[in-house]
Amino acid sequence: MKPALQTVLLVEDEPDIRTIVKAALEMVGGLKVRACESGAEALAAVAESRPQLVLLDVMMPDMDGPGVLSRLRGNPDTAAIPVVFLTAKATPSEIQRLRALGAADVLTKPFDPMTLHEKVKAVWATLA
Amino acid sequence: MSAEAFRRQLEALSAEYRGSLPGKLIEIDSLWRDLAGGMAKPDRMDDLQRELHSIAGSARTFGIAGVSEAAAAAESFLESFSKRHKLPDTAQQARFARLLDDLKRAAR
Repeated sequence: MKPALQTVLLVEDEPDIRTIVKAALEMVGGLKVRACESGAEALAAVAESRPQLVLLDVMMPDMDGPGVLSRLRGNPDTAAIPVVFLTAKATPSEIQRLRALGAADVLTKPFDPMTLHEKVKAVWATLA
Repeated sequence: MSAEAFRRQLEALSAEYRGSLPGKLIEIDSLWRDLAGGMAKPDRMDDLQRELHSIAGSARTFGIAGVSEAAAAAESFLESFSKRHKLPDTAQQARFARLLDDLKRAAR
């Protein structure tokens, strides 16, 4: 039986959003969330803590979300970790592009903090 | 930990966010003036677009949808120029300045 989602790595460079997503997933969703502010920090955190799922901002300085996803997919140890993008640029073409890169799903900003955990858990539930 | 505790934290975070907005808008305005006046390199439009993108993605979450929408409109206008690192022409600069004014009004 598939385990319930418990651990999430959040990667978000915007401090306000990082704080609110972490608090929402932990306090409302009951998840254990480790938060990172950059792609480089995220890659180190994934290697160290192996989260069940990565919630990844798209637009970040230095290494952007697709760059992080590419690095995760290129490493056999992390290739299978599902990645869900969180983006403010949710045009149909952008969503299609992110899915084609291998994203498990794409969630949009702005989001309702009270129901974000439900969306993340719903994505987890659809994964094999 | 509970939804009620989170609501209280969300209210506090929203108040903090609203308090930080005027400073963010001053920085955006200052960078735009530097760009339009030739005192900043055109590639700094990336920074300007990123700041607008950030507000567009966060303000509605903190309960100020109008700010989110105004920031998204300004970001969208700037995107094609930012990609080419090419400053808008005079008429387009005036249009962008109006979009920034809309954003400042929405944040009041």
